[in-house]
Amino acid sequence: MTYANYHSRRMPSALRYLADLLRYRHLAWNLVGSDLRSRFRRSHLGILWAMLQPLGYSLVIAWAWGAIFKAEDYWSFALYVYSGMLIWDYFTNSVMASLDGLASAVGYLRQSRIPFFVFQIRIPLSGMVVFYAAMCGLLIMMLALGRFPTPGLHLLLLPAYGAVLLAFMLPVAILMSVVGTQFRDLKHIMTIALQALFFLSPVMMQRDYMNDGHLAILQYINPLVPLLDMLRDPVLHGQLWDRQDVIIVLSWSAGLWLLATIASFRAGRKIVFAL
Amino acid sequence: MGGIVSVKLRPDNFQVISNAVPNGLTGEHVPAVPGPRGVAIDIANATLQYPIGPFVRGSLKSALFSLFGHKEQKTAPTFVNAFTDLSLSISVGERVGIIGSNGSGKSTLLRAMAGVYPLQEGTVTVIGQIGTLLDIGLGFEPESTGRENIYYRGMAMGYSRREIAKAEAAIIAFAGLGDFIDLPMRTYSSGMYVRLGFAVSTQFQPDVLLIDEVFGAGDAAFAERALQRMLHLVETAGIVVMVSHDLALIQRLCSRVVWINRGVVVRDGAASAVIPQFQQYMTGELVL
Repeated sequence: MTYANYHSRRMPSALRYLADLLRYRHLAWNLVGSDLRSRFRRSHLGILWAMLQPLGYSLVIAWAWGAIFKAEDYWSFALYVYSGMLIWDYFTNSVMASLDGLASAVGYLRQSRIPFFVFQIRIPLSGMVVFYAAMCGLLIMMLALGRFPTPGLHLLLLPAYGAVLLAFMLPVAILMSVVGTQFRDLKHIMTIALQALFFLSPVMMQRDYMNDGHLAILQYINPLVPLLDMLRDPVLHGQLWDRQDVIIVLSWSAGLWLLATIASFRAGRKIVFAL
Repeated sequence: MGGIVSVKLRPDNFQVISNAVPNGLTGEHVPAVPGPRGVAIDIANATLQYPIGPFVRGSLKSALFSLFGHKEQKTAPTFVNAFTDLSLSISVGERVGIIGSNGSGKSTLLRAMAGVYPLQEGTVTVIGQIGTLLDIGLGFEPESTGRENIYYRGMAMGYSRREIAKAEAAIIAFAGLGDFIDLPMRTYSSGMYVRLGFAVSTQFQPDVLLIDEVFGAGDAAFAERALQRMLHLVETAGIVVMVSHDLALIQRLCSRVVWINRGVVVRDGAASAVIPQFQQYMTGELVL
């Protein structure tokens, strides 16, 4: 039950896989560009919507929920919600799009033996471009409010944050695409799960509520809590990442990579039959 | 009657393939490595089962019901055997036509050669860069122009933007689509799809070209140009494998014909010998 194509030379399967990934890197980049073009196609404001969408949400949510949470300062709370929406939008969009990540690539996968990874990475990568565009919106908003982040080493963590986010999101995308293709109910399950997760994450709920009490457990079992901390610490609070947050996020990422690898090996290329 | 026809190949047949195998990474030419039996396509004892219906049996509903002891009645088979214990060797320089009635496993075999479908048993070894034209619509973005789709398809074959840019003018010239090349592909006819797909798939001179039932959609003038290009491909160290119901086309293009019935090779030989027997079978004059 083997397939070998010696287009260049014989090599071990792991090396062949890496060579194939390298070979199809142009396709992966092109797919990311294609996703971005199709997302903002025929739109007058284009990628500006990546900034305007979280801005609109944050202004409205800060107005309504700021009153409920008795937030002291409307604009501080709006910035807090905006930063939360950045991660939340990236996470939910990547999860939901990844469920169809392989199915939407049927045209390619039934034509050639292209590594699945090419189609699994496109979603977190194109989402990452939108994320950083939205991040520019946050920084512009802070500048307009005269609350630009204090200069310091912590600002160097902003580019590194993208790598951390991608290392976390990529195995999630792989898992969603592999399991979602085989188990079509997952899309409906994830819709419910994400709604629940929103209310269990400090997107608009103030982070202080999770420091103690029965909600404190969320710091460990909900990876979005430390991920949100790691964005807000350097940007809003002018400080370096908390060590505990880093350990929790890295642990989650390692566990997710393990699961994604097992799921990918178990499914193999049989998934093509399900597309 | 019937049974698997094993084609024995002389070891020296392989000598032609070693002249040039394009390396997808660099575009350089490196010597090919002989396969297990010294041929360019080698399928040994291959069995492929195609799942019917859901890939994973059962749904959330049945999973919940099973908690209460309900067992799903399995009346329908889960898989069909596309082909079983199939062996086939194709040597460099051959133009092979695969024929058979509907559902005989022709297209599935072609996709197994392309590495698209995994096998349950056996091995498929292909030496050389593969070019595929398995479905005219697949791999094209209807909203993008023909020119953009040249890049999409070229990249799906593993080429870089720079390599495709070098070949772009030649692809457009061969496809002969005129001003349509800058219009969205949703405005194309099926023949235009085939022209562009064939032009891209063959421009980079793949060692192995796999074509499935799409060739007939082009007009007569294009079919002649395509035939000349395929002959050229075969001359320059290539293999062409084509699946079609158009026996006249197969007779014209292919030097060898493999007739598959229910996933088993029943005849394998010269087109002039196999096609008449297949026609007799289809009219009921021949029983397997």
